[in-house]
Amino acid sequence: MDAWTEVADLNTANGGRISFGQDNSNAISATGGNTELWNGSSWTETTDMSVPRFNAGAGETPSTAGIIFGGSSPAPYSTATELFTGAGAGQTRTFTDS
Amino acid sequence: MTTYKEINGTNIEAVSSDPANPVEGQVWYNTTDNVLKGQAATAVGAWSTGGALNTGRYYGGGAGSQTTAIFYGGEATPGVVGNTESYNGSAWTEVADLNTARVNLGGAGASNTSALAIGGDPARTITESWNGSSWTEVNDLNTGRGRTSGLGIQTAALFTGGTPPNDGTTINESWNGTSWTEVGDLNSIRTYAAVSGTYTSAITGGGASPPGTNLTITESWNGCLDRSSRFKYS
Repeated sequence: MDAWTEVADLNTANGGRISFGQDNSNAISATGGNTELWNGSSWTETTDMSVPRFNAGAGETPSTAGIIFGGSSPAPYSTATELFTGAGAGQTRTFTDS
Repeated sequence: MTTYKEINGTNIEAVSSDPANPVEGQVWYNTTDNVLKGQAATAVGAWSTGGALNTGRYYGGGAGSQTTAIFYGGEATPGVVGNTESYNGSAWTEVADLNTARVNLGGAGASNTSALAIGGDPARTITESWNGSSWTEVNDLNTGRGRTSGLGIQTAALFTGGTPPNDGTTINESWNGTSWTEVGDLNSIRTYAAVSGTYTSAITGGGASPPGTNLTITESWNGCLDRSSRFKYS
Protein backbone atom coordinates (compact mmCIF):
# COMPACT_ATOMS: atom_id res chain seq x y z
CA MET A 1 0.00 0.00 0.00
CA ASP A 2 1.30 3.46 -0.91
CA ALA A 3 0.49 5.73 2.01
CA TRP A 4 1.71 8.67 4.08
CA THR A 5 0.95 8.45 7.83
CA GLU A 6 1.09 11.39 10.19
CA VAL A 7 3.62 10.87 12.98
CA ALA A 8 5.22 13.02 15.72
CA ASP A 9 5.77 16.71 14.90
CA LEU A 10 9.06 18.56 14.65
CA ASN A 11 9.93 20.57 17.77
CA THR A 12 10.46 23.81 15.88
CA ALA A 13 8.44 25.27 13.01
CA ASN A 14 11.27 26.85 11.04
CA GLY A 15 10.98 27.32 7.28
CA GLY A 16 13.46 26.46 4.54
CA ARG A 17 14.40 23.02 5.85
CA ILE A 18 16.53 20.47 4.01
CA SER A 19 16.90 16.87 5.07
CA PHE A 20 18.66 13.58 4.44
CA GLY A 21 18.30 10.11 5.90
CA GLN A 22 18.27 6.40 5.15
CA ASP A 23 14.54 5.72 5.37
CA ASN A 24 11.53 6.52 7.59
CA SER A 25 13.38 5.35 10.71
CA ASN A 26 16.04 8.04 10.67
CA ALA A 27 16.57 11.52 9.24
CA ILE A 28 18.28 14.83 9.82
CA SER A 29 16.26 18.00 9.18
CA ALA A 30 18.23 21.26 9.20
CA THR A 31 17.56 24.94 8.66
CA GLY A 32 18.70 28.28 10.04
CA GLY A 33 19.60 27.75 13.68
CA ASN A 34 17.77 24.46 14.13
CA THR A 35 18.75 20.86 13.40
CA GLU A 36 16.60 17.93 14.47
CA LEU A 37 17.23 14.19 14.43
CA TRP A 38 14.39 11.70 13.68
CA ASN A 39 14.72 8.24 15.27
CA GLY A 40 11.60 6.63 13.84
CA SER A 41 9.25 7.92 16.51
CA SER A 42 10.25 11.44 17.58
CA TRP A 43 12.43 14.45 16.73
CA THR A 44 15.31 15.52 19.01
CA GLU A 45 17.28 18.76 18.70
CA THR A 46 20.93 18.18 17.88
CA THR A 47 24.00 20.18 16.90
CA ASP A 48 23.28 23.09 14.55
CA MET A 49 25.09 24.00 11.35
CA SER A 50 28.06 26.35 11.69
CA VAL A 51 26.60 28.58 8.97
CA PRO A 52 22.87 29.04 9.68
CA ARG A 53 20.99 29.23 6.36
CA PHE A 54 17.70 28.46 4.72
CA ASN A 55 16.70 26.65 1.51
CA ALA A 56 20.09 25.04 0.94
CA GLY A 57 20.73 22.04 -1.30
CA ALA A 58 21.49 18.59 0.06
CA GLY A 59 22.79 15.25 -1.11
CA GLU A 60 19.74 13.01 -1.23
CA THR A 61 21.54 9.68 -1.11
CA PRO A 62 19.90 7.62 1.64
CA SER A 63 22.30 8.12 4.54
CA THR A 64 22.55 9.88 7.89
CA ALA A 65 26.03 11.08 6.94
CA GLY A 66 24.84 13.95 4.80
CA ILE A 67 26.02 17.02 2.95
CA ILE A 68 24.38 20.47 2.74
CA PHE A 69 25.45 23.25 0.37
CA GLY A 70 24.43 26.81 -0.53
CA GLY A 71 21.43 28.51 1.01
CA SER A 72 20.13 31.99 1.70
CA SER A 73 22.66 33.37 4.13
CA PRO A 74 25.03 35.02 4.66
CA ALA A 75 23.45 37.46 2.21
CA PRO A 76 22.91 37.33 -0.59
CA TYR A 77 23.63 33.61 -1.14
CA SER A 78 25.83 31.12 0.66
CA THR A 79 28.72 29.19 -0.90
CA ALA A 80 29.19 27.11 2.26
CA THR A 81 29.28 23.31 2.31
CA GLU A 82 28.87 21.37 5.55
CA LEU A 83 29.04 17.65 6.26
CA PHE A 84 27.03 15.96 9.02
CA THR A 85 28.25 12.82 10.75
CA GLY A 86 25.53 11.15 12.76
CA ALA A 87 25.69 9.91 16.32
CA GLY A 88 27.25 6.48 16.62
CA ALA A 89 29.96 7.12 14.06
CA GLY A 90 33.47 6.05 15.08
CA GLN A 91 35.77 8.63 16.60
CA THR A 92 39.32 8.26 17.92
CA ARG A 93 39.82 9.82 21.35
CA THR A 94 42.95 10.46 23.43
CA PHE A 95 42.96 9.51 27.10
CA THR A 96 44.01 12.22 29.53
CA ASP A 97 44.61 12.21 33.27
CA SER A 98 42.48 15.32 33.93
CA MET B 1 42.35 -4.03 40.74
CA THR B 2 41.41 -5.73 37.51
CA THR B 3 43.87 -5.09 34.71
CA TYR B 4 43.27 -4.47 31.00
CA LYS B 5 44.96 -7.82 30.23
CA GLU B 6 42.69 -9.70 32.62
CA ILE B 7 39.63 -8.26 30.84
CA ASN B 8 40.83 -8.47 27.24
CA GLY B 9 43.40 -11.26 27.35
CA THR B 10 46.19 -9.10 25.91
CA ASN B 11 48.22 -6.09 26.88
CA ILE B 12 47.50 -2.71 25.25
CA GLU B 13 49.26 -2.67 21.89
CA ALA B 14 52.01 -0.10 21.36
CA VAL B 15 52.06 1.26 17.80
CA SER B 16 53.88 4.07 16.02
CA SER B 17 50.72 5.27 14.22
CA ASP B 18 47.00 4.93 14.83
CA PRO B 19 45.37 1.78 13.37
CA ALA B 20 43.66 2.39 10.02
CA ASN B 21 40.28 0.93 10.94
CA PRO B 22 39.92 0.70 14.73
CA VAL B 23 36.79 -0.88 16.17
CA GLU B 24 34.69 0.59 18.95
CA GLY B 25 36.31 -0.19 22.31
CA GLN B 26 39.80 -0.77 20.88
CA VAL B 27 42.62 0.83 22.92
CA TRP B 28 46.26 1.40 21.86
CA TYR B 29 49.35 3.36 22.89
CA ASN B 30 50.72 5.68 20.19
CA THR B 31 54.51 5.71 20.70
CA THR B 32 54.98 8.65 18.31
CA ASP B 33 52.60 10.95 20.19
CA ASN B 34 53.23 9.25 23.56
CA VAL B 35 49.52 9.10 24.31
CA LEU B 36 46.96 6.43 25.08
CA LYS B 37 44.11 6.37 22.56
CA GLY B 38 40.84 4.56 22.09
CA GLN B 39 37.99 4.26 19.63
CA ALA B 40 34.54 5.46 20.72
CA ALA B 41 31.20 6.14 19.08
CA THR B 42 30.13 9.78 18.90
CA ALA B 43 27.29 10.58 21.29
CA VAL B 44 25.75 13.32 19.13
CA GLY B 45 26.00 14.34 15.50
CA ALA B 46 28.58 16.86 14.38
CA TRP B 47 29.02 19.23 11.42
CA SER B 48 32.30 19.82 9.61
CA THR B 49 33.23 22.18 6.77
CA GLY B 50 33.61 21.15 3.14
CA GLY B 51 34.77 23.00 0.02
CA ALA B 52 32.99 26.22 -0.99
CA LEU B 53 30.68 26.44 -4.00
CA ASN B 54 31.86 28.57 -6.93
CA THR B 55 28.42 30.21 -7.23
CA GLY B 56 26.47 30.96 -4.06
CA ARG B 57 22.73 30.27 -4.48
CA TYR B 58 19.61 28.82 -2.93
CA TYR B 59 16.43 27.02 -3.99
CA GLY B 60 18.50 24.67 -6.18
CA GLY B 61 18.37 20.88 -6.55
CA GLY B 62 20.91 18.59 -4.94
CA ALA B 63 21.99 14.97 -4.99
CA GLY B 64 24.76 12.65 -3.88
CA SER B 65 26.80 12.08 -0.75
CA GLN B 66 29.69 13.59 1.21
CA THR B 67 32.26 12.37 -1.31
CA THR B 68 30.32 12.73 -4.57
CA ALA B 69 27.61 15.36 -4.85
CA ILE B 70 25.99 17.68 -7.38
CA PHE B 71 24.12 21.02 -7.07
CA TYR B 72 22.10 22.48 -9.95
CA GLY B 73 19.87 25.43 -10.75
CA GLY B 74 18.50 27.81 -8.13
CA GLU B 75 18.62 31.53 -7.60
CA ALA B 76 21.87 33.47 -7.58
CA THR B 77 23.02 36.93 -8.59
CA PRO B 78 21.51 38.19 -10.88
CA GLY B 79 18.63 35.65 -10.93
CA VAL B 80 17.56 32.13 -11.87
CA VAL B 81 20.49 30.01 -13.08
CA GLY B 82 21.10 26.63 -14.69
CA ASN B 83 24.59 26.28 -13.20
CA THR B 84 25.65 22.78 -12.24
CA GLU B 85 28.52 22.11 -9.87
CA SER B 86 30.09 18.73 -9.11
CA TYR B 87 31.71 17.88 -5.72
CA ASN B 88 34.49 15.30 -5.36
CA GLY B 89 34.73 15.24 -1.58
CA SER B 90 36.87 18.35 -1.30
CA ALA B 91 36.13 20.86 -4.10
CA TRP B 92 33.29 22.00 -6.39
CA THR B 93 33.83 22.19 -10.17
CA GLU B 94 31.51 23.85 -12.70
CA VAL B 95 30.14 21.38 -15.24
CA ALA B 96 27.40 21.49 -17.92
CA ASP B 97 24.32 23.61 -17.16
CA LEU B 98 20.73 22.40 -16.99
CA ASN B 99 18.92 22.63 -20.32
CA THR B 100 16.22 24.68 -18.56
CA ALA B 101 17.45 27.08 -15.88
CA ARG B 102 14.99 27.05 -13.01
CA VAL B 103 14.44 27.64 -9.32
CA ASN B 104 12.66 25.72 -6.55
CA LEU B 105 13.27 22.40 -8.30
CA GLY B 106 13.68 18.98 -6.68
CA GLY B 107 16.73 16.76 -6.72
CA ALA B 108 17.40 13.04 -6.48
CA GLY B 109 20.40 10.86 -7.22
CA ALA B 110 23.24 8.86 -5.74
CA SER B 111 26.31 10.72 -6.93
CA ASN B 112 27.84 13.39 -9.18
CA THR B 113 27.38 11.03 -12.14
CA SER B 114 23.74 10.08 -11.54
CA ALA B 115 20.96 12.56 -10.70
CA LEU B 116 17.53 13.95 -11.56
CA ALA B 117 16.39 17.59 -11.76
CA ILE B 118 12.65 17.61 -11.13
CA GLY B 119 10.03 20.28 -11.78
CA GLY B 120 10.50 23.80 -10.43
CA ASP B 121 8.76 27.18 -10.57
CA PRO B 122 6.43 28.09 -12.14
CA ALA B 123 4.57 24.75 -12.14
CA ARG B 124 7.17 23.07 -14.33
CA THR B 125 6.76 19.43 -15.39
CA ILE B 126 10.32 19.18 -16.77
CA THR B 127 12.53 16.31 -15.62
CA GLU B 128 16.19 16.15 -16.62
CA SER B 129 18.62 13.27 -16.08
CA TRP B 130 22.39 13.76 -15.44
CA ASN B 131 24.96 11.17 -16.59
CA GLY B 132 28.11 12.79 -15.25
CA SER B 133 28.70 15.07 -18.21
CA SER B 134 25.36 16.40 -19.53
CA TRP B 135 21.65 16.80 -18.78
CA THR B 136 19.05 15.04 -20.96
CA GLU B 137 15.35 15.80 -20.82
CA VAL B 138 13.30 12.72 -19.95
CA ASN B 139 9.59 12.15 -19.31
CA ASP B 140 7.66 14.94 -17.59
CA LEU B 141 5.87 14.96 -14.26
CA ASN B 142 2.11 14.40 -14.53
CA THR B 143 1.51 17.57 -12.47
CA GLY B 144 3.88 20.49 -12.75
CA ARG B 145 5.15 21.63 -9.33
CA GLY B 146 7.92 23.48 -7.56
CA ARG B 147 8.87 24.49 -4.01
CA THR B 148 9.45 20.97 -2.74
CA SER B 149 12.25 18.39 -2.57
CA GLY B 150 12.86 15.15 -4.37
CA LEU B 151 14.37 12.03 -2.90
CA GLY B 152 15.81 8.70 -4.00
CA ILE B 153 18.05 7.74 -6.87
CA GLN B 154 18.01 8.07 -10.66
CA THR B 155 15.91 4.93 -11.13
CA ALA B 156 13.63 5.19 -8.09
CA ALA B 157 12.56 8.62 -6.85
CA LEU B 158 9.67 10.52 -5.25
CA PHE B 159 8.51 14.10 -5.75
CA THR B 160 6.06 15.10 -3.04
CA GLY B 161 3.84 18.13 -2.35
CA GLY B 162 4.85 21.62 -3.47
CA THR B 163 2.95 24.29 -5.38
CA PRO B 164 0.65 25.28 -7.16
CA PRO B 165 -1.73 26.07 -5.64
CA ASN B 166 -0.04 28.71 -3.54
CA ASP B 167 -0.93 27.08 -0.22
CA GLY B 168 0.46 23.75 -1.35
CA THR B 169 -0.66 20.40 -2.66
CA THR B 170 -0.78 16.79 -1.45
CA ILE B 171 0.19 15.31 -4.82
CA ASN B 172 2.92 12.67 -4.71
CA GLU B 173 4.57 11.10 -7.77
CA SER B 174 6.92 8.13 -8.08
CA TRP B 175 9.66 7.77 -10.75
CA ASN B 176 10.68 4.29 -11.93
CA GLY B 177 13.57 5.30 -14.14
CA THR B 178 11.34 5.94 -17.13
CA SER B 179 8.13 7.68 -16.16
CA TRP B 180 6.22 9.34 -13.30
CA THR B 181 3.15 7.73 -11.70
CA GLU B 182 0.87 9.36 -9.14
CA VAL B 183 0.95 7.38 -5.88
CA GLY B 184 -0.44 7.94 -2.38
CA ASP B 185 -1.01 11.58 -1.52
CA LEU B 186 0.20 13.43 1.55
CA ASN B 187 -2.39 13.91 4.28
CA SER B 188 -1.67 17.66 4.58
CA ILE B 189 -0.91 20.27 1.96
CA ARG B 190 2.40 22.07 2.27
CA THR B 191 5.20 23.76 0.35
CA TYR B 192 8.94 23.73 0.95
CA ALA B 193 8.79 20.58 3.10
CA ALA B 194 12.01 18.64 3.60
CA VAL B 195 11.88 15.03 2.36
CA SER B 196 14.40 12.22 2.85
CA GLY B 197 14.80 8.47 2.61
CA THR B 198 14.01 6.18 -0.29
CA TYR B 199 11.01 5.83 -2.55
CA THR B 200 9.78 2.92 -0.45
CA SER B 201 10.45 4.41 3.00
CA ALA B 202 10.63 8.15 3.64
CA ILE B 203 9.99 11.05 6.01
CA THR B 204 8.73 14.53 5.23
CA GLY B 205 8.69 17.22 7.88
CA GLY B 206 7.95 20.91 8.20
CA GLY B 207 7.25 23.18 5.27
CA ALA B 208 4.76 26.02 5.08
CA SER B 209 1.03 26.51 4.43
CA PRO B 210 -0.11 29.12 3.71
CA PRO B 211 3.15 30.79 2.66
CA GLY B 212 4.84 32.33 5.69
CA THR B 213 3.19 29.99 8.19
CA ASN B 214 5.76 27.35 9.05
CA LEU B 215 4.65 23.85 10.01
CA THR B 216 5.91 21.09 12.28
CA ILE B 217 3.82 18.33 10.64
CA THR B 218 5.73 15.11 9.93
CA GLU B 219 4.53 12.26 7.73
CA SER B 220 6.05 8.80 7.22
CA TRP B 221 5.93 7.05 3.81
CA ASN B 222 5.61 3.34 3.13
CA GLY B 223 5.04 2.56 -0.51
CA CYS B 224 6.08 1.44 -3.97
CA LEU B 225 7.03 -1.97 -2.55
CA ASP B 226 5.41 -3.82 -5.44
CA ARG B 227 7.70 -1.94 -7.83
CA SER B 228 10.87 -1.74 -5.73
CA SER B 229 12.09 -5.24 -6.56
CA ARG B 230 12.89 -4.04 -10.06
CA PHE B 231 14.86 -1.02 -8.87
CA LYS B 232 17.23 -2.08 -6.13
CA TYR B 233 19.50 0.42 -4.42
CA SER B 234 23.16 -0.28 -4.91
